[in-house]
Amino acid sequence: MDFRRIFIFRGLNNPLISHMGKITGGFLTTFVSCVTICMSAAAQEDSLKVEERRDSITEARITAEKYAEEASSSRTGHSRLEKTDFIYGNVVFSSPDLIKTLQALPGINPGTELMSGLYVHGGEGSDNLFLLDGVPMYQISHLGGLFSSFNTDVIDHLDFYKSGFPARYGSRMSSVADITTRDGDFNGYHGNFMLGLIDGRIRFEGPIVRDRTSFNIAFRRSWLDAVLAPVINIVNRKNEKGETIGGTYNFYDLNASVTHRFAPDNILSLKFYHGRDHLKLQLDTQQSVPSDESGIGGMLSGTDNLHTDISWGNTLASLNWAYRIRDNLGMKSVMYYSGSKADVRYYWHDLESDKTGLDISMDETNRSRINDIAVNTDFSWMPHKSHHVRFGASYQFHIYNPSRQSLAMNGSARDADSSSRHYTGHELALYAEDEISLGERITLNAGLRYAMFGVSGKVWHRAEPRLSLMVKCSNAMDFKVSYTEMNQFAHLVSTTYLDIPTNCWLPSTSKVAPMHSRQVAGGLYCRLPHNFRINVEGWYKTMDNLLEYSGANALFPPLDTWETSFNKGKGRSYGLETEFGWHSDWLFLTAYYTLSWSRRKFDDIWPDWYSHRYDNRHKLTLMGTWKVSRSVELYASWNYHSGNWMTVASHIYNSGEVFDRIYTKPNNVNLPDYHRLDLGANFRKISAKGIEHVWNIGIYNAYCRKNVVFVAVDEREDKSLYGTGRAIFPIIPSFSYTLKF
Amino acid sequence: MKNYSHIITCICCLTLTACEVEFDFNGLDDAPLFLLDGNIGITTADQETGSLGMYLYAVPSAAGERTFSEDARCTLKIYINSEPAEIKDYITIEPFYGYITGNYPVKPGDEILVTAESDGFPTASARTVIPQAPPVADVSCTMEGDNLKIRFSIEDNEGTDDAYAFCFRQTVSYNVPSDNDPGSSLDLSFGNPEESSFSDTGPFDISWDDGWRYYGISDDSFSGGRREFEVTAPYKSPSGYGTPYFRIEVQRISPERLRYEIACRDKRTNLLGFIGLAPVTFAYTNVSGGSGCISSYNSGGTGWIPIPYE
Repeated sequence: MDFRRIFIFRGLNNPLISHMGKITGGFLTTFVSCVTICMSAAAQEDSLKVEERRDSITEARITAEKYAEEASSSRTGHSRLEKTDFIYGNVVFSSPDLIKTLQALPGINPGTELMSGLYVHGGEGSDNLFLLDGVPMYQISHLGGLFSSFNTDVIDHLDFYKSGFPARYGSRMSSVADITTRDGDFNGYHGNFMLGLIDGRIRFEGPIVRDRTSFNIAFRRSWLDAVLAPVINIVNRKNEKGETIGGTYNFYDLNASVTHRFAPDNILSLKFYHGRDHLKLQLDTQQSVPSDESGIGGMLSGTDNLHTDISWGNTLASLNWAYRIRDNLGMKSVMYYSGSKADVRYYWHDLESDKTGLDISMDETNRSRINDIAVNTDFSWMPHKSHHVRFGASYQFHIYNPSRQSLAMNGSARDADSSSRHYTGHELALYAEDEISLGERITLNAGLRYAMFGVSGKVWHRAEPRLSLMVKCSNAMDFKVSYTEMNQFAHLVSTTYLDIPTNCWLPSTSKVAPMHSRQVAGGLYCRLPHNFRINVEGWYKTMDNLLEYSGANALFPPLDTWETSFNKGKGRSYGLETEFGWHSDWLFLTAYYTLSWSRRKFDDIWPDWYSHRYDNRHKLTLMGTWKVSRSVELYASWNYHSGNWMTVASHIYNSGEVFDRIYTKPNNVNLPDYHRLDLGANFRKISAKGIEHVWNIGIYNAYCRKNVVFVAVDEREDKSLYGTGRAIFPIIPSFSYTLKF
Repeated sequence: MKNYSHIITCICCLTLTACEVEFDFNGLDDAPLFLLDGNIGITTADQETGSLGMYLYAVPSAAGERTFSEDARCTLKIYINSEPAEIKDYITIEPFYGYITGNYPVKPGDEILVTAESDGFPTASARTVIPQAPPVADVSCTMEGDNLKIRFSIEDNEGTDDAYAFCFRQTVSYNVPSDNDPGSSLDLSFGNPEESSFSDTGPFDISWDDGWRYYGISDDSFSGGRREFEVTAPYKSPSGYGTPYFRIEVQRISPERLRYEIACRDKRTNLLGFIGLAPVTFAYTNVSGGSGCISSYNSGGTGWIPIPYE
């Protein structure tokens, strides 16, 4: 018997047959007849191992797994995304992007175009918990949000929750994205290499000790700096005004893991992530100015400088241990470190503004640091066929350490200023939940999470009930409802809506209460004949203790007064989201529609409720993938949402001066609707040796819709106001080549 | 200037790479409105008479007619605890950018309602409650070089949402001046040079100029407790003879005044907010159907305190 390949399908938590779904392909009969299904192993490991007896299979796909998984869950608002979900339709610069895939889902507002914004059920971008193999990550994007921090090459799957949160998750208010990376192959060496327009990726995996120890390592880097360098050189050569510009930008990230199997149910893995962005901008201008009014005193020469140097990123390291204690009791334990840093340095020097020869300069450095050291242990226990109990505990030690220094020089006079904050926080959480089957048709998941957060002598205690109920109305239709509460002890202190490294994380203190949300969600989930499915889900969510800082005067958060200078408010969001899908073996069609409201109330800003800036009433996403042949795939997606909101003067009593404009309500104007079409194609070729070549061609914003990113308010001659929107991202063609071996 | 450079650099970078698209704003109200910006106050010396000073503006909509009929009139009504106190129905709208004053029998805890009505305008109305008497401030001062260092503290009421405004005054006199002597302004210094575009309010939330420089603070950070302040005022040798004195006027103000002054400051400096990239905190008003702020205060303060100037 010649075993040529082994396929392992992991994460099969429910009865195997329900996940097996439909094995597709024209070689179905051959496939089934040629494999040995190791049922005993599947029962033990939550995985299905399929061994191929002869090398006759080019592809095997379990298409029903994703939908079966979601449908069988008792939870509302849960989506599971597999690796293949990242490939189609959300490709920017030919790089698949995890967060942009999530942005397409219903109930989520993407925020500013092409940024990694995720505004889930009316929440803010900082209210989402991103876990990479169980380790929280604070900075989830590169290049100001253009790329997410997650390399899709190593991602196995993602569980995304926007309501119905399991009790094992906490510490963020709006959503949980639990990302699991793949272990390396225990039997053979594989890898891939991708070359895109502005970035490249390489990944390699394989056994260290066959069947026992494996590794998986992936690296990604942008080369925008290599492209920019010659352009800047040319510009500088042609510049005759004495100006020299300089600049560089790059990002990279590294994912690495080593996994060792002591036994099939005793697995230890070491995982590591490190990512950095670095942006440097320089403008130097040669100056020669008279030293006095008459010019008799000669000339002063020097250089005016404007330098900005920004770097930011995360480092994560974790040790994971999965162990099956008894047949019905398993344990997963994670010990980790998660660190996030952001450094901004700004230097400005001016000669011209002072003709006495005194240099005037400003040198500012802003540093933001957050470090977590933590341990989590989760148990999964099935005491009875109708009970699945999960319980566990986690302890996190947080160190928040933002600081800022500035030095202003005016000749010999110097004005130095520095401010910093240092907090150590202890976050302890205990949880228990039981998924109870009440007969054939009803499943109840009841859980409770207790969270304690202590910082600077203040201890916050919070209890978070989690309830989910699923009623199987028929084999094709389920009804689900859930109630959850979540608390958030970490606050992203920001004076802008931009995802920039000047923002810093700070903890709840005696003066700053934890943010808190309550959410009720419920819906109908139908699997119709002929591969149609339709889900309709509604939610109502309230949020308390929201913070908002004034954008006046500064890009940097007010470190000295951050505990007192914020506006405190609340929010509410409600809406209805629908998902409609159909698929065949070669065509996949999906439509998401969301009708939603998102409101805010900050008494110090406005005495009544007003629209959140991303209160997008309608959101529609249409996606299609057509597998033309085994070697050609075409995909398209069309994204639409109602315009964002901004604040515009409604009345003018001395036109022409901003100072005299009257702003009668925050976010009183609805900006133009957003829509764009993305198109793409993958061309594959698999050589006789099994090496796969993939050429990807993509077009972002195919009809070049000018979607507004920010708006300047201008006056016409008749004094009426109009907006001049700036659309930063026009049509973007892209190309990439991927080699898989 | 320093932080504006950041902002301007960012905007320039974005602008260089941007495509423009022009559009009209949907949702702007085309009716004009009234802007009411006024204060009614009582003093610890006379806790039964409120003095009102209020600006009234008729403001055309950015999306509608910019002129008003010459015949248009505004009716201003003032109620105390829901009882009409005065009706002024003669205010012309077009040329009037004026100041309205009046004295009314009020006491702490009274609710004042001001409404402004006219055809074509939404009715503007605002309420304020006269605050309780301000706390007595404990004050001491020393001269340190050319600076007068003032230390003072106040005790906040527990369980109420309070705000305070302080005004520092100086005078020179052979005798202890009377409490009616307004003196002249004593400006404080808080690090940033005068020409700086930063608003530097030291330990206070905001400062504003209403003929006098007021420094305002809410009790958010010391609710129900005592708060101590230490401030510095550059102090020059008084010209002429006599003893230099200073005093602190302490006002307990209705919190809406503080919110409104903070919003006005933000309106002057929130560059990113104007283009939708920063939180908008400059639209605050407590005037329903209009704009501006109607607030109240209860004013007291220290007596005149000799400055230990040598």
